[in-house]
Amino acid sequence: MTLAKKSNSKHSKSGNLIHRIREISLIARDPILMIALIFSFIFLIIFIFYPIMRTVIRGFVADNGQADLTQFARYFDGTFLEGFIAKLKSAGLILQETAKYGRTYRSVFNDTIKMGLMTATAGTVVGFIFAYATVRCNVPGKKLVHLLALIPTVSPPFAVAIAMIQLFGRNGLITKSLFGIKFTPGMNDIYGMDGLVIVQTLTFFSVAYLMLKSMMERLDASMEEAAETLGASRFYLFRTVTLPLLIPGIASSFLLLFVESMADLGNPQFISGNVTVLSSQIYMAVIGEFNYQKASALSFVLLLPTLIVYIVQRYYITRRSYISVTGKPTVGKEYEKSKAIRVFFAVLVYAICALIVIVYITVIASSFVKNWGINFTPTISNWSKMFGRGLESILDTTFLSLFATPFAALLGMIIAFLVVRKNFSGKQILDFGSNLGGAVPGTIVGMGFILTFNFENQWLAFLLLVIGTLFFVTCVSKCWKQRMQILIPGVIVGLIASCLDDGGFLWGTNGWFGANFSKISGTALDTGQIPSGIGLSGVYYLTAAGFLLLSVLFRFQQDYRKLVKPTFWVGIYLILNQVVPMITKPIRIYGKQQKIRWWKAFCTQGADYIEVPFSLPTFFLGVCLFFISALIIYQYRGKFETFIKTVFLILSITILFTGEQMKMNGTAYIILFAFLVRSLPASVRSGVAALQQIDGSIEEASAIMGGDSQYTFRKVTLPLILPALMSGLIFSFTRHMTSLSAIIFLVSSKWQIVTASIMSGWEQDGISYAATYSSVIIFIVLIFIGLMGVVTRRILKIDSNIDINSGF
Amino acid sequence: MYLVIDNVEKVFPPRGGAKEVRALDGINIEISKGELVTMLGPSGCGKTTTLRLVAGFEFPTAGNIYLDGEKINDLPTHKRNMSMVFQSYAIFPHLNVYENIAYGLNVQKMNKEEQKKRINQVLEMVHLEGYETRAPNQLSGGQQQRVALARALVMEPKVLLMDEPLSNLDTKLREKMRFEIRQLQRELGFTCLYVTHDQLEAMVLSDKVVVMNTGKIEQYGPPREIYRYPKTKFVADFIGRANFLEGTIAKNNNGNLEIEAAGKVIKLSDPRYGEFSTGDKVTLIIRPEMIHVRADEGKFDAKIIQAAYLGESIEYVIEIDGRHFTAHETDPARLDMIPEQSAVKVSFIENCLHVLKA
Repeated sequence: MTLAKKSNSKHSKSGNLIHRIREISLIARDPILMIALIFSFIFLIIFIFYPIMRTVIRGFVADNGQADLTQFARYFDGTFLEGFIAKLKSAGLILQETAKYGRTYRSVFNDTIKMGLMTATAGTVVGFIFAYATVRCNVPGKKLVHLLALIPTVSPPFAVAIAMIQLFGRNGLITKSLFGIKFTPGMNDIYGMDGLVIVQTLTFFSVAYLMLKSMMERLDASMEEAAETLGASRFYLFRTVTLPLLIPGIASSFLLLFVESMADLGNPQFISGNVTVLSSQIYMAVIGEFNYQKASALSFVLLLPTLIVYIVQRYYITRRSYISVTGKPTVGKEYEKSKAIRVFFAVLVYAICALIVIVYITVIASSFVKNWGINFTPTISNWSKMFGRGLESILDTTFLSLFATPFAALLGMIIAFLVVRKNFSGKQILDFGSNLGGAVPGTIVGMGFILTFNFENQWLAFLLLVIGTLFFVTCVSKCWKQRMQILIPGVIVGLIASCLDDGGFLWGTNGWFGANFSKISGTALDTGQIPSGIGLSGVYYLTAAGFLLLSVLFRFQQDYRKLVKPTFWVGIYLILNQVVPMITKPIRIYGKQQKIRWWKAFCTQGADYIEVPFSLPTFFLGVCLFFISALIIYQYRGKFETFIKTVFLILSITILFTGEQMKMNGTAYIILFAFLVRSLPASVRSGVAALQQIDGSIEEASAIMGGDSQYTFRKVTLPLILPALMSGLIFSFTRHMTSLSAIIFLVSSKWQIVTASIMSGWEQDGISYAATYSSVIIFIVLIFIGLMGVVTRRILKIDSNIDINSGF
Repeated sequence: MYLVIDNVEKVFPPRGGAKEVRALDGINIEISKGELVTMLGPSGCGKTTTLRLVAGFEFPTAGNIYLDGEKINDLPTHKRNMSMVFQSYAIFPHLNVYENIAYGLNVQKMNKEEQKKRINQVLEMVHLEGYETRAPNQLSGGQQQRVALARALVMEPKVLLMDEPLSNLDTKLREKMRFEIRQLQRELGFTCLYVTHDQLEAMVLSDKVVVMNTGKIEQYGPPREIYRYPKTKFVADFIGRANFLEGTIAKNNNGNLEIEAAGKVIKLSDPRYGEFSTGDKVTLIIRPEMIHVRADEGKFDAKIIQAAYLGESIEYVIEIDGRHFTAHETDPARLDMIPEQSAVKVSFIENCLHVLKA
């Protein structure tokens, strides 16, 4: 506030560090706030930073673990760098063949960049036209135009591609039936780069539209009026005032579209014809060649430009924006005074809208047609086929999307709250990280997830142990001696207890002492024999018993009766983890014997879904237990204080380290977490936008009247950002339902996702079948949006329209 | 002392390209129970930062804050038993008037009947009976201000903090609210720390005034003392208006001073000036109302540079010996303006002048 005083840099550095530590300790005084902070960071590390890092590193490592630059060297095969490659080869850094790969690799890369640039240009132009028409020209029916422009954001990633093939393909309605064009090999058809760019433009222009729209709305008209009074002509004014003010928005949307286009997997897969782009090359490397090194290396090649562009957009261009974020939108005025220009824009917009309408009608229509392009007889065979074979994946997709949605929105709001309202070091990382998962191409997230969660990750588990334990002891105790008394026995006993199931990392098959110990002692286990242990369920029952006993202990202390309930329910939850599968098993068996398809699916899938809430991966359950335990007992000052606190720590560590830790392949959770990672940015951004509109003193007012942070969040912040929460829910659900690239490698026979089924099946089942699936996704998403709209308006009584812009 | 701010410093570390900012540089304030203390200063002087430190929204870089003998540096805001009226009022937009006022009582889990009693009491105090079910956006600025005040008062806080609570009101209403707040404070006897940049407000309201500038306290004392005997030129100029005239002590006899200034001798006597010795360079603080501008009689020869009719007074800018002074003519009998550029005679009400060491 006042003059900055010059102090010598050494002093200010140490002072700075102290300040940073004190900021954290300020937050730490409030355990719930601290939990929110630590949990967000743990989420980022495990599900975003670490998987991306794994992907990047894997590209440089051969299957046998040696450093290997083959994949990158292939890009330079046949160029002036060949000599250098030979040198690397003789140095042992290139283990595989590089010759003859150069041209393909480079052409894929060039095509990808070309596609990105063309889509970004075209998409921004279309987006600008839409934004200018709705904001400035006040075109008739602009609400409808707005809604139509948003449809591509709620549809599966290849809907437009399907429609374009049906309309303009070799058997297309327009090309063949209307104009009677017969395609011969070599003719320029919809397949290829041009078709791909058209499809991507229609798919992604909404991003540019929303961005430019909100920017134009905030553009203060008085500036243009000022220019006019100074004698500027209309065109001069547009060139010298309007356009420069919009440049940051145009640049941002160009860059975002570039990233979106490069990351797109669905459209290229359908329509790119002979052209291959990076995302489909990665897909083929995983699905076709099982070559994870290649896939990771190519992912890195794809990651670099997208990441650079993303950072430039986020940290450079947005900073240079002249238009304040908080400015009130000035809508409804007709700024564009020339009628000719208004008509021009209106015609353009209506034409594109018509195209969008036709596209989606085609998607839906072609699901009801026998053989599009050849036999247009109406039929419901596609639908009955889908309800037969595809019902399972539709149910799975909807269930998983729904299940992940509230968590995504809530986590988004919490992160937004921390980023906007709290001061701490690492805030930038939290902000950046939460957006990263959505900004990088989905294939990279998917790759990272298989590379991370197909294995046990002891070191990551140890990291969690360190974070969790440190938090736990600092939270429950204020004196160093007691902290040590809790920490040391807690960690030792906890780690040993976690190995009770099958030896874990101690005497387990791959444990530190397992093989070695038996070698030394000469009591080698027979191959395939499981080391002695009480099994995973044994550990669950044991920890559950621990919690139940503690709750009994609390029962006998008058002052701490209120701790009984939470402790008891944690114990019950742990038992349910083992009991629920016993209940669902007969349901599943019953379901499998049924003849009626939908009833069968309902029973078997229902059994799966009941299990999901009770089958959290152990490491995640362990992390949650750390926080819950700390919350339960941090104020406990009763009998056996140190002992009870130690027991809580032991129980948490036991669960954290037991079982298969981070191995989640084939489970619902690997998909759920991928969903969360992908949809987090949208809800964070809508939360941030909403919070920035609310004066911080409103929360301070609550604090000074005695409300702690969670009371304040619940009673003041949340009600005020409810509209943002609702749009966060919608965004998340839509993102889950339509995500493809991130989950395509994660689906399993038990957990199927519609978009992935389409990708893998459309060549056999035909494009009409894919259209049927797409229609279903569109319907489900629209139904969800409709329901949320009703909930918002009728039940929560919020008048304001859900601001669908805020997610961008 | 009830609330003690002991040698508090606050440094905002450099962040995001901004430089390090030293907002408070060793602040000492002591407030007795039941006192209303105003912090006054230009924007950016650190007065709001001090308030936020007391509230617990920020923590001090160095120094301590004590409340009722207990150190509260690390006590979270919600445990401090204070309440605050914000400049923006910070009324919860999703709650009605009654719910807003009940908010803090609900946090305390007070039973509903007791709540109702207390709330009705404060509503009466701030003259808002009948507005219980109104939504905040249906209230005028003054009414919102009263809700914010009621919400703070109902808590019966240990300390009531006010951050420029009247700055968003229009002049008439502001004047009225000043007296109302003063009266409430006298009646209820709450301890209050009040931030303002309006010196009149500070004068009307306070038992004591803290004048701050660039993170430091310039002067701390009752309003009258601050106006009459400012310790620095900054205070003299910030509280009211002041002309400065350099001079030299010619003679000092136990506070009976003779000062040579602008070629004349000025006499005044006040025991507090006993310490000056002959030859000391001093600055005379001359308030505009202490200057008499006459056509014929006076000590100094002067010229009118500018004259403006203000209704209740006339403001003259005059030139004496090459220096410019502002003078106010407040005598209703003399409200005929002397034309600009005319030569006049000027004298000071010499015994009312204040002397500062230069």
